[in-house]
Parts: sequence; structure tokens; C-alpha cells
Amino acid sequence: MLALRCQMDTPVALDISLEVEGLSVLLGRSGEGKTTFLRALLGLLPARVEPWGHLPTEQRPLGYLPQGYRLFPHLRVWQNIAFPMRGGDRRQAALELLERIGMARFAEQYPAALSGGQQQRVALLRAIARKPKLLLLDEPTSALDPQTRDEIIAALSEESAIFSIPLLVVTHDVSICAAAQRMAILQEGGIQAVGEPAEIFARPPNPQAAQMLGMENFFTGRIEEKLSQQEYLVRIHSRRLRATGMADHSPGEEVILGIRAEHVLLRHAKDTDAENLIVSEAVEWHRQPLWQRFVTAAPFSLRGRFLAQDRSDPPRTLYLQLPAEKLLLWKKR
Amino acid sequence: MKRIGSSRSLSLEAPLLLFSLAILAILIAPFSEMFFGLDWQHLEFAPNDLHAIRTSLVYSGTALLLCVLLGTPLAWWMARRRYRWSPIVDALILLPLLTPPLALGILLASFFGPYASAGEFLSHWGLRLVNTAPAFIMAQVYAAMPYYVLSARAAFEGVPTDLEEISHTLGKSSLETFWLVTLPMARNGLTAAIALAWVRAMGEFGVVLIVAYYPMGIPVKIYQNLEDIGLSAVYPLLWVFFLVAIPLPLWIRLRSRRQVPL
Repeated sequence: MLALRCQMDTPVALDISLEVEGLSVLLGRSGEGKTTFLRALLGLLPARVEPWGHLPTEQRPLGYLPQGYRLFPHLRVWQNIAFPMRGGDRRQAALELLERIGMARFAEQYPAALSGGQQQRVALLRAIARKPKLLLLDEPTSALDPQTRDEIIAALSEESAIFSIPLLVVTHDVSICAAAQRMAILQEGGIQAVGEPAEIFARPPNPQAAQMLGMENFFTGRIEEKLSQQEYLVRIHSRRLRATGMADHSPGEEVILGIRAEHVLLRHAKDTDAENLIVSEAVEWHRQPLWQRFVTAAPFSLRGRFLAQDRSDPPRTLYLQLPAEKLLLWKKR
Repeated sequence: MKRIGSSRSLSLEAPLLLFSLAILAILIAPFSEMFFGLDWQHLEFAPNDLHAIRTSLVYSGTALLLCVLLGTPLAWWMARRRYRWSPIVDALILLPLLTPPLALGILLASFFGPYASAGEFLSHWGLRLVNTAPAFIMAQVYAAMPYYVLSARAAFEGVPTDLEEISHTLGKSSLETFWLVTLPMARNGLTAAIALAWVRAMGEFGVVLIVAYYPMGIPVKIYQNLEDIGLSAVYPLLWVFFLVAIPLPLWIRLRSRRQVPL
């Protein structure tokens, strides 16, 4: 595990402490300073950085894959990969690296002749060729179609293992987190949450992070009663629902509640004894090849979706269950 | 979309071709005198013409080398380091371009002449900068270097700085980055700058006339031939001038084009 620290005031105020291993993801919206953080680690921007902060850029043992990959257009593929190498048979060493990812036949091409995905893999090899202790990747999946994106993520994770170099990916693309060993959320210049992706997806630290992770439904409510260590009875509009939160809330406190669209369960009319059941009118139905999505009327304006197996006409009146362990609550700031 | 685009360019192609050829013809027309105004039966060189050719080639070559060696770092600095006072540097480099060549020659003669302090200082070290080979080369450098620096700066500005940063992240020092990334990527622009500096140095008349009438290069010799002998002594030398001056820029351009398109 490698511990990173970065503090800076301009152009963005950042104070980031982060531990990376395997494939780690730093998730943040555009403009949060993700690229700035990487550039500071690399020594391309002035900042207080640990480790290697005292070294000039060219001596920091970091590999960097920028957005757009930035291969040298005047060099052939093998020359791009051999660029950071010194001494010995650089051509042979570059060819061996290309061989390992099955791209040896492109060695004599110029970057302009490669596809986006191929350029990225060459850029990754070029960064690996300098034998870094950590690889930094800036939005590696932006500008890729979903299928290529999944392939790239799989390839990244595989190549990290092949070359046994930890990878730090900064991105706003939530889907990369699924392949990651560790993830962190960057918000307002600092790390808001850090841990395994499954933990963070299950319990995002705040509504903003939850929204970034794809949660769509949010409401405000007031705590009526603390039921157990992490269970609360909350009044939302005229309904009382059971919800899950941290241990530090007290009755009377105003809170924000949230639930992911896929966690909203569609029930039959006869399941009236189900917990946290809401009856609402559907105002929108969207049929997509894989999903059926719906939006319900106020005051419980809920977005839900389920796998589109049932081809019959969607009902107007919906019986919806919000499972208590999936209905999360946070302090209202 | 593509069809619309190509049909539009087709409809423009013929007029554009005619227009371009017409302008080129107008530019080239005076040079027809070199064919028709010349008495091809009695073609001969004036005395010392060959000496002038040698002088021009050797000294212009030296001047070009100096322009590249001294001008390249300056051009890179101007392209990459921007200060609040950078516009003043930009204006200063235009000054020798703006100055009429004759006036620039007079300024050089006044500054580096034997009675000026700079000239006196240099002559102590055995460097006389009036009517000597070094004076000839200096005059050509003053005439050609601003053109070289301006073109080379534009060439360097065309190299994306993020590629230079990538080179640093790949372990290369600033000097290595300049050599491996900046220079090759600015290649096309730099060769154009070299070609421009070469033709400026070869063709320079006004500055050289004042500072280094001797050793006599081709432009001054053409002037002397016209004065002493007449038109018949001008054209043969002019022919040779073109024949020796054109191949270098042509060769450099072709060489740089033959490599990877950037």
C-alpha cells in the first residue's frame, strides 16, 4: 500500500491523503481538481506532495497516462514505448512489451494509424516502460463507447497485475469502480470517503457522493424515533418509514433520505403488510430494451426501474416498497 | 456531407487554379528578362565573378550557421517563456527588420567601426568589423537572424507543451526533451526558417554594401558589374546566383517533407 499526500492552494485548493493498491479509483466530478491532483503529484504544478515531492518531474518514479493519451506523433509505436528506456537494446525491449499485450504487429506504425483504444494501450506501455512505482491515469474511459470502456477497464486491471504496478485512476466514470480494489471520493478539495467500492456504494458518506454514485431518489424528512444503533423511524410528508443511517442522529433532527432507483421494489396490491409501502400514481413510463423506468407523482416523486421481462401494459397505480436497509439517511447540512 | 463538400471545392477549383497561376505569372514575369534580355551567344563572366560566388557561398553558410546556433535558443525562449515584458522583446526583434537595410548598415558601421567604442574594443582582440570577412558575415547575420528567429519561434509555438511535459514524466531532462520532442516536432517550421534565413543572407545588399563592400559577395558584385560594365555583366552572375542559392532551401524542404507528416 502506497500513501500519497498533496496540499495546494492554487489553482484549486486541495488537501488529499490517499492510500493506493492494485487498481484504485479516485472519483470526482469535473472541476473538483482531479487532473490538478495528478499534475501536482507529477511535479508539473507547485504543491506540497509526499512522497517524491522534493524531486523534479523527470526523477519521480511515476507513470502518467493523460487524457487523449498524447503519444509522440513523430515516433513509431515501438519508438514511443522505447522513449523512456535507456541503454541496451531499446527496440528489442519495446517489442517484448508489445508482444505481451499482443500488439507486436503495430510496432512500425505511427500513432495516427491506431484506434483510440490501441493508442491508449501503447501510451500505457510507454508509461510502464519507465518502470514506475505507481501509474497515474487521467479519465482513461472518457471518449470511449461503453463496450470499449469495459474492455479497457478489464485490460487495465489485468495489466496492473501483469506488470505488478499499482494504478491510480482519476475519473468521473462510476463504472470503473466495479473493477477497483479501492476507491475514494474527491469532493470540495478533500477525500470524503475511502474504502472498498462495495462498502462505499452500500453506504455513501453524503447525499452528494450518493448522487455521484448513481442514486436518483432524495427526500427530506424528520427523525421520530431511534429504533436501534443504525435504524430510525423517519417521517417523510405524511408517511413514517424505517431507514438506515449512522449512529449519531437524534429524534427531531431533519435529515436527507435517499434510495437507488433499482432498490425501489414494485409490489402487488395484495402485499399490504409489506414494510415501507407507498402507493403512488405513475406519471411517466419509459420502456427501454433492458429496463422499464417509471417516475411517480408528488409528494413521493420516485424514480424506479426493473428488468423489462414483463411486456404487458404498465399499471397506473404503483405499490412500491422502499426496503429499510436500502433507504439511507444523512444529516441535512 | 462529403459529396456536398467535394462538389463545392470542385466548383471553386478551376477559378482558384487560374487565379493562382495568374498571380504566380505576374510575380515571375520580370525574370523572363534573364532569358530574353541575355545575349546567349556572347555569354561571359566579368573578372572576379567566381571569387564573388565563393565569397557569398562560404560566408553566407557561416552566417546561416551562426543564425541557427544563436537564434534557435532565443526563438525557443521567446516561444516558451512568457513574461509581462515579452511584448517588448517581440518589438525589439522587429526593429532590425523594420530598419531600411542601408540605415541598418550605417548603424552597424557606426557601432562597430574603428572609431566607435565597441569597434575599438573588438579591434584590441584583433577583430575588425569593417570591410573584412567577419564584417561581411556580421552584416548577413543582422539581416537574416530576425527572420530566422521569428519563423523558428512560430515553429516552437506549434509544438504542444503537454507533449514536452509527457517527456518530463517519462524521465527526460529539459535538454533531452528539447532534442527528442521539441526539435523534431518543430522540424517543418524550422526548415522553413533556415531556408528563409539562407535566402536573406545570400541576397542581402544594403547592409553589406555599407559594412563590407569588400570582400565582395554576389549582390555587391552585381551592383559593381552594372556600374563598370553594364547589363551584359549582370545576368550571367545572376544566373549563377540562383543556381547556387536555390538548391539548399529546396533540399532542406524536400528532406523534411519526406519524413513523417506531423
